[in-house]
Amino acid sequence: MSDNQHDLTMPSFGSDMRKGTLVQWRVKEGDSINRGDVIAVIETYKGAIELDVFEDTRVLSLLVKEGDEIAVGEPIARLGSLDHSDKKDAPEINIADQEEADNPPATADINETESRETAQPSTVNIPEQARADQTGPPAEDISAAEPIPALAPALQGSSKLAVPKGFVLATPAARFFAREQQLSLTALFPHHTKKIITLAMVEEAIKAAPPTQQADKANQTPGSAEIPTAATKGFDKNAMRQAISATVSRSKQQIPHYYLRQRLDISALEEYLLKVNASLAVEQRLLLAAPLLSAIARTLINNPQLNGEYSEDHFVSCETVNLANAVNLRGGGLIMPVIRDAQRLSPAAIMEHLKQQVTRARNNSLLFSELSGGSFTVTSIGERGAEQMFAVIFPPQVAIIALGSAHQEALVVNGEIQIRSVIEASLAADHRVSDGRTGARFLYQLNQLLQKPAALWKTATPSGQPEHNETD
Amino acid sequence: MDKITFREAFKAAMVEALNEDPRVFLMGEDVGRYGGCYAVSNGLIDTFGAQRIIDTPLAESGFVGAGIGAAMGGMKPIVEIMTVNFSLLALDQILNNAATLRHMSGGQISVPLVIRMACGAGKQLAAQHSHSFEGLYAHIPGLKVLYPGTIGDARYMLKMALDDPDPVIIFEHVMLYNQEGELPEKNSIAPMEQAVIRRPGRDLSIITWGGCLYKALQAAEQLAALGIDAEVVDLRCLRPLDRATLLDSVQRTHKAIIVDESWKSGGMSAEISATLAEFGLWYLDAPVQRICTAEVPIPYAQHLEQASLPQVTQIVTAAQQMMASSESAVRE
Repeated sequence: MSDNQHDLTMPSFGSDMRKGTLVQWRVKEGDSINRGDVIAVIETYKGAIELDVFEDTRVLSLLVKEGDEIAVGEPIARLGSLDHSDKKDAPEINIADQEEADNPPATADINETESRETAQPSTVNIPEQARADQTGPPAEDISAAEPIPALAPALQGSSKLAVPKGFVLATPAARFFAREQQLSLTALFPHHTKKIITLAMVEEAIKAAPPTQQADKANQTPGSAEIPTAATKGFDKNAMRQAISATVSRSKQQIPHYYLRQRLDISALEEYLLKVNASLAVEQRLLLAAPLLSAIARTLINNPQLNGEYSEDHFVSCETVNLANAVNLRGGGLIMPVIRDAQRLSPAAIMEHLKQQVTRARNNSLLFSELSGGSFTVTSIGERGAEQMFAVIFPPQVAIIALGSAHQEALVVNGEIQIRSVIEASLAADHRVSDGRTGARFLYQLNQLLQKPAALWKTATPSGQPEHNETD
Repeated sequence: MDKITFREAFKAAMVEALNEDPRVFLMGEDVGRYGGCYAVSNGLIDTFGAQRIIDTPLAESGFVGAGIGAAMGGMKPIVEIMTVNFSLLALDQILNNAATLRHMSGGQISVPLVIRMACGAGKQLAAQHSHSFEGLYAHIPGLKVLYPGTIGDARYMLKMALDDPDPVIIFEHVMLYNQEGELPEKNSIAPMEQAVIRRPGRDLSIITWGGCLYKALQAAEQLAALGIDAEVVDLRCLRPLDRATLLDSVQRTHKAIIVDESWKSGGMSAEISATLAEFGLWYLDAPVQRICTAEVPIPYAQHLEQASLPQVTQIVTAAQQMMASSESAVRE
């Protein structure tokens, strides 16, 4: 293997993962791919996960077949640098493009058939004209473009609209909304090829059916042109239960947990949040979780012994706070998408991550890069849950904070009894790495920060909040 | 509140300007003794004298050029061009001098000139005196193009135009002159370069200006009775174009109908459609609809003239079809 080639190996989606099944390749040999592109769909007990790549590269060869089960660390594809292979492969690509340019694109056929049928020259003249005018763009662009439905009816009031096979006619707003929700239109509308899908129809369809059912339909659609997403696979409930059981058993057997409990007074935060939300449009409003996660992240950056990984008998602290946020899946199971660099994010930015990740977690369409590299976990019992919860550390992390439900309590404040909003927080931490004092300091600082909520909305410094020394 | 006509509003604006600033004067064909072809300046010559209300020869290139010269020399001229078609005779002065002199002089020369032009169809003035050329002028960098469609704008936009250091064109639709309305408070008038939402609505945006605004508002009333909540966006200023306001409206309603009394091809409605396609595509939930004048020279015969122009019923029908299109856009 020369210097500019390397192997992509089966990644680990968690320390407890031993192997994964390559469900689908999303690339062919010879493809150029960009950082962030999805290269394959891999199935584990967590469900089907899209594997994205971290570099601009070229796929030299695929080393395993779809359906193969591969151990973590085994090579699955050989990648090469772009510039070297570009020169070698360039002539082939030109030939391929030339061929496609010689054969008129599919839209032309459809439009011409249409013109004979309807005998309305006006409906075809416009697309024809548009093609004749296309002297500029290279052949590659034309062949790669989605077939464009003739829009002549909108102009002429004609009643026929060409519907290319496998293309769902949808308004841009409907398309955009579906993409935001990580849903494919073919999955949502398997039988509606003669109607133009509008925004309202997508909204209704999403309301009408749970995401997993919608996703399953996609597989049954014949001639579906849209690439099936990871959501089409769903997760295996039993396998996930087994994996959770293996992880927590190992955690409890190997990690000497210590627990600390702290009552967080969130009255000031709630009041401040109310004011912030009053000035925001409804869809931009923040949930309590957003500033809470922000406060946790900013406090953690000053408590490095709680933030990192313990492996091979030693601890490495993490320079950023990569906050894993436990999300309950409908039908059981847990998944923990990660918000990276959380100590630098505003509550609004965290809210945005939360919204997207929770939606995608429940649609089984999280990316590999979102599920790995957590340095600390937050788990919340939710509004109607218990007042307090004690959590199990998720290895190889060394600490986890569990937040009980927010509720009101009578507290003694400045010598008098007041009704305050509180959350019972409990920290579980690894005694091999830190002692109770570290954990207590973290919880104390967190509570202090929550008493000055305005600070959370100020631009975070790289080091987060200044260190408090009074407990040392 | 007082009820006044557009004609009175345009006139009151000039009276105010002439009273407030000795550098202001009015110049044009028949603006003095005849009182203006549309009687907007009727009687001004008696109040302000022939030195400030100047009757010019029938030579648009000459008197527009004189206006540019006066503006360069420190005056604040209001030049009236009888109808917009005559401005074509002065087009070289407007686009090659008024619009370019700041640039050509490296910023040393300003041309604080205001040109008022009557325009639009509906008075059976036939193919040569019924144009809507605001799109043509909005094409030219260096100009500002205003088109008041409300009594308030007719009354107060002139002052804003005179205060601008660069040439401003104000269009006055001939069908508005006799329309009456309540004069709003001066401080309720938005800055001249800002589009205004005249009627908020949730279902679709009707984007229009000037002589079509009242038609759009009437259509919106009729649509309300049919259960369709239309928003009406009055652009007011076609150059610079307040894209933010129109995009904001379409982002909320997801549907746009553009009503423009000029021809479709290469016109203002095309520019707005392109804006929606460039910056608002992902918000659109239906193809943009344009209701414009038929692409013919404006007919003389009244029924043909009316048939060629955008009408309230067309707007209502287009809106209904747009709202129903989710049901039956593709028919077998």
